[in-house]
Amino acid sequence: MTPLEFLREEFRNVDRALEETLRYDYGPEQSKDFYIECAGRLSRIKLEVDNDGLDRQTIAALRGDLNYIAALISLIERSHLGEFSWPFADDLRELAKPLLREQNLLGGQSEPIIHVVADAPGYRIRYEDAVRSASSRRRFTIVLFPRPLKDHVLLHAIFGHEIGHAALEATNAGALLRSQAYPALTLNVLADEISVDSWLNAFDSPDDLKTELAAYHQRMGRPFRLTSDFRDSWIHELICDLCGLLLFGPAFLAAHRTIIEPSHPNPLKFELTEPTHPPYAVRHKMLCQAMRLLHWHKTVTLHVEGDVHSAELEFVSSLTRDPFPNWAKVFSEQEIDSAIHGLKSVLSELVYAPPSSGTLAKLVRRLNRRLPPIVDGIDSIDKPILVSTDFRQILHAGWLFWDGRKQLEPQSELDFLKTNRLCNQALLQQRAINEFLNA
Amino acid sequence: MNVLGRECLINNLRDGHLVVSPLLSEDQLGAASIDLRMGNVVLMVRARGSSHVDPQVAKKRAAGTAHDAAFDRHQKHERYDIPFKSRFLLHPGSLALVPTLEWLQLPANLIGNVTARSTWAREGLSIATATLIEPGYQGIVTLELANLGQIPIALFPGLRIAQITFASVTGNTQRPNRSQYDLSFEPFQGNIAKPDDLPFIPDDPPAAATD
Repeated sequence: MTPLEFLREEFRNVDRALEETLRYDYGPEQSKDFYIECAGRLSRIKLEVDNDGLDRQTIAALRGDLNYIAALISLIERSHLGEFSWPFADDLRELAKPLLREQNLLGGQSEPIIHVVADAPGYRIRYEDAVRSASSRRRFTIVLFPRPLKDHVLLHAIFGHEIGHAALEATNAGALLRSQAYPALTLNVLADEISVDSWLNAFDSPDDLKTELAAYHQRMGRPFRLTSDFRDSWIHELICDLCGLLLFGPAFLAAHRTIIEPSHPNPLKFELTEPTHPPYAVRHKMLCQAMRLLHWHKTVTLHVEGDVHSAELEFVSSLTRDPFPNWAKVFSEQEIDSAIHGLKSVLSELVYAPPSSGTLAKLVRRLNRRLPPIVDGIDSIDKPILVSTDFRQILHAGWLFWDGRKQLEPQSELDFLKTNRLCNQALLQQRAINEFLNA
Repeated sequence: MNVLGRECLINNLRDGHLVVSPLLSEDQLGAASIDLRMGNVVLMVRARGSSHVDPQVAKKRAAGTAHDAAFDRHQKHERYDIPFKSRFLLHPGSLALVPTLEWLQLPANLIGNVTARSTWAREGLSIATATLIEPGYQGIVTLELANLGQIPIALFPGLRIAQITFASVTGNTQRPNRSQYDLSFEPFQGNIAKPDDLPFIPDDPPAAATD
């Protein structure tokens, strides 16, 4: 078999694999756009594959394109609705779409194909950066839910950070987000390699870190330097943290702390060989500062809400507790405030708006009664009361309940999984309410 | 046993003594019943699953390895998640387990009775089997849907397909062997070989049956 014959054989195999995905039930409509885009890319590749005069270099390149599409096809097969919270995924799609929309060559707006799959182990949003203009029409954004955390919608608030990553790569929103946040975060410690170096070697930097930097120096024969690529990566991560907080509110910080803190045995240190992320303590401290600047360190509920108010006091105080030394504070309040203002101007109406005192108290009380946290009831003329509650407010209530539950009366015996499942049920019921209200 | 009328139902719902949530429309409240809507999960018997329902096979599996017991529980049904505005076809003779959209919480002095709505029953849709909801129950209600007609029935999550009536119960309803209902989030396969059934189920393998 010649290389060209094998290329054609591979083309037929990939084409067949795509068709076979139609045999399975992945949830109506959810994979259709994905299929159509893959089929479109294949048909454009076919025009080249049919050419008899292909040289070896083109054949190798086309094989690469086919392999890439084959990998995409396998993602269709991992998008079974029963393996992640599809109500959450739908809400996430709606939140992410305006940020990932981009202008196409014809002057119109291209909608991204936001495809959700259950994967392991962590939360990721993969934004397709290598768009091959010759063979693609729409960009894929792949949202990966960790399979074992299928029901843990409270933890899913961490997707705020991942939306930040995807948006930073998007052509429209990315440039805006960078221009609005980057200058404010690079005035001081992260201004350049020298200022980072002074900060790392400051008199108050943690002893463990100093020891590790010294060991690195000895091992590598040169002192550690945070090169501009990695400094950019740190700023990128910090901007994404701020985006996450602005998009998901206090629920983001709660999820951030729960998921990220355990993977840092020493929150003041960072990976020296591949320093893509700043120390956890730096991230947490910045988010606590941002919480205060956004006034989210204060309670939403009023005193009149009694035990729920006490629970919220506990929630916000545990959330903004900052046990880390002042060394980890790399931004002034003014710098963070300026970054927040800039990001808000881009995210605009997508920025999280906390519920009213009464609504938050209702949602938390429902959870404490082992009920899905939605707002409903029957009015004075016996008509059902239907309220459209933002899914992020449901997550906010869920975290408030979980962190403040010891203050609630009676004390709940709900475990974390059931708390999450009740919140997930609420997201599903809220979709039904919204369908009904929008009809 | 007194069945609760509309006014009494509304009072119970309003003060939170009884929970059927969410109620999307006033029409769900009948003279002495509340309509229930179809939820978003369907369990159907898998074509290549169990050959037949047999407590003896279930007993044998339960006594086997942890894998055997769990395998049996999970292999019988195919699970489908059906988003809103997506169609599910129930074919004649088929049985499907679906949850209600509504979350129920019954106090200790009320019992619920679930039946089909006559509109759908006339089309052949039957909610035929276990219909009593015990006092203290918390969660979705599993509806056992069967199509008794001659043609398939298309169903969509959110449709009002069942109704529930509530009656008062006198006396203490606490069960000493079950302090409180666990929350029920979705339908699952029942246990047809419970511990107190086992004395009546022979240990020998069935003569001509295989699993």
